[in-house]
Amino acid sequence: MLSLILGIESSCDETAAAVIKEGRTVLSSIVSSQIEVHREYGGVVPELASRKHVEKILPVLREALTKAGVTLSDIDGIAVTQGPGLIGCLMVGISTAKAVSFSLGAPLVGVDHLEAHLAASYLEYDISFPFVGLVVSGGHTSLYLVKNHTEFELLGKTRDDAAGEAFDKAAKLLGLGYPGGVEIDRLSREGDARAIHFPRPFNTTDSFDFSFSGIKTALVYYLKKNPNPNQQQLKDICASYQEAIVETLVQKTLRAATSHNIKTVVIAGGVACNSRLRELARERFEQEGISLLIPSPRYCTDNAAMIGALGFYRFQKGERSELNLNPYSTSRPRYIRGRGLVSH
Amino acid sequence: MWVLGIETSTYAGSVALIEDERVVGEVFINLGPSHSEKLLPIIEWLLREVGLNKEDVEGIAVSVGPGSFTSVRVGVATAKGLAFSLGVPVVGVSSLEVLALNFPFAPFVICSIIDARKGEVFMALFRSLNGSLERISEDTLVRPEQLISIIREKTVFVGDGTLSYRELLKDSLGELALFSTPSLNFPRASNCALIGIERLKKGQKDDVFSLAPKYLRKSDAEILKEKRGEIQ
Repeated sequence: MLSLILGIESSCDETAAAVIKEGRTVLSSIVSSQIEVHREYGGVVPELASRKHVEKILPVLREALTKAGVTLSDIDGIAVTQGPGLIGCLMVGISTAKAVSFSLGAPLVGVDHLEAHLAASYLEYDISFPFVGLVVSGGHTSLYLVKNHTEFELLGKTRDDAAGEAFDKAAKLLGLGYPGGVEIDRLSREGDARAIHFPRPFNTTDSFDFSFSGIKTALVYYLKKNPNPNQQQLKDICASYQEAIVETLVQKTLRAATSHNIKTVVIAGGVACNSRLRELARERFEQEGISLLIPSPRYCTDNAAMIGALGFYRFQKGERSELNLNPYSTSRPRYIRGRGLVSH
Repeated sequence: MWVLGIETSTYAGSVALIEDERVVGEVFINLGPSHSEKLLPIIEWLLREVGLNKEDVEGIAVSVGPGSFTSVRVGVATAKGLAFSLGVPVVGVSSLEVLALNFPFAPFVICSIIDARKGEVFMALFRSLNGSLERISEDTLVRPEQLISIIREKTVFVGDGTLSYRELLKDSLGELALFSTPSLNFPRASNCALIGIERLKKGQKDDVFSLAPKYLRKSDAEILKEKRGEIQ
């Protein structure tokens, strides 16, 4: 069995490496955040992020090994984020992972970043399958039916903005800081969530897809009609806006669980740190007798421990990637006869 | 001493193995942006064909640009990963210097130019001195017109920039501008390795942790921000 897995993650603006033992024990998980680099631009600048990854990748890797108390030669396998993410950023992690894998003669496996967010739950919980998983972050909002450690069926995803993106854009419109989600979460605690009604798109349809660009547009119009909100009004706007997003997320996830007769739900990704989402999800799922699992904040935001965790199970299944492993930006490409590699 | 050379600063890429001054093997492809997919399989193939174990590689020379940001990052990240995990020294080499070594005996000034897009080129001037290179100018980013204004004597132009700006150079410089055959317009990993091995033998290795590409141009977001700052 491949016991010690080195995980590498570089899909967006965090450079991360982790050493995982037997898929569960996190010997180390190092994350170097670039938030300060991107703050002044109000969002992640792909070229700047890629440049930072090249600078940070080896120091982060070395720190992960040191902290785990192991050397490179102890590593049994390397798992790396293949996508989705920013191509230039992914390439840095993948190039490094391939070079390390080749040098050590240790196997390599490319893993999906979104699936890995859900696999973060393997680190802390004795999870029972199948479960419904919601991955919600600055770049993604996707709902999965997870059948076992390595089998993920995509039920739906956002058709436009991700939930975290909707928070960031609102924060920008309201003149709040970056990243916006944290700020809105904080201000919402003192706001009235029923003050303003924002749309809850797709909430009534059968689809498990999401759409959040309409909420943002509604906010733009609201601010045009009601410019220069005072401090309390600002808090009310934040709370109402947040409520619309959170309710949509919780309701769709709940419907996915009940319609598939699933009793376990995992919510992961950066937005899973949102306090209102945690609160409302707990409340609603409890009523339905569904157990809700949310990984610790450090495993919700981008990290490499989750990459190592999923990698471990993919290795166990016998999966291996070749040295020609290439990143993908949106969804995992599939090989279709006569058409070659296509994205679904 | 066995040195592995990696050159991916443009859309063409190459890998070479040298033993001291002897180039033992080299693979060159010019297939557009595909380095991420092809680089390590080519390194693996070349080592196998040459009959060398990866553990026998004693140093790595990598072209750090200037050139295509993404392409050069693949080469540099790969070289760093290899050097770190094989425990061997790594040295970064300028892509423009690598290009100039295509003309080691030219009795003229050698001007390496790599197309930087957006109407600019990366360039540097060299002179050949007993088969080795003497650098006349630092690597810089200029508009082709600026480049033309500094050329005073017969100059060999080398690099993919000569493909984009050949007519302009010809029209402006007349017989001062000399051009090479197409096969010599690409930086080659063998030359990168040859420049690198000299430095490695002198103990001039780079720090594997901080080694980074030489971009010479800020990201679009930074440029835009600076422009806005000027207006305010």
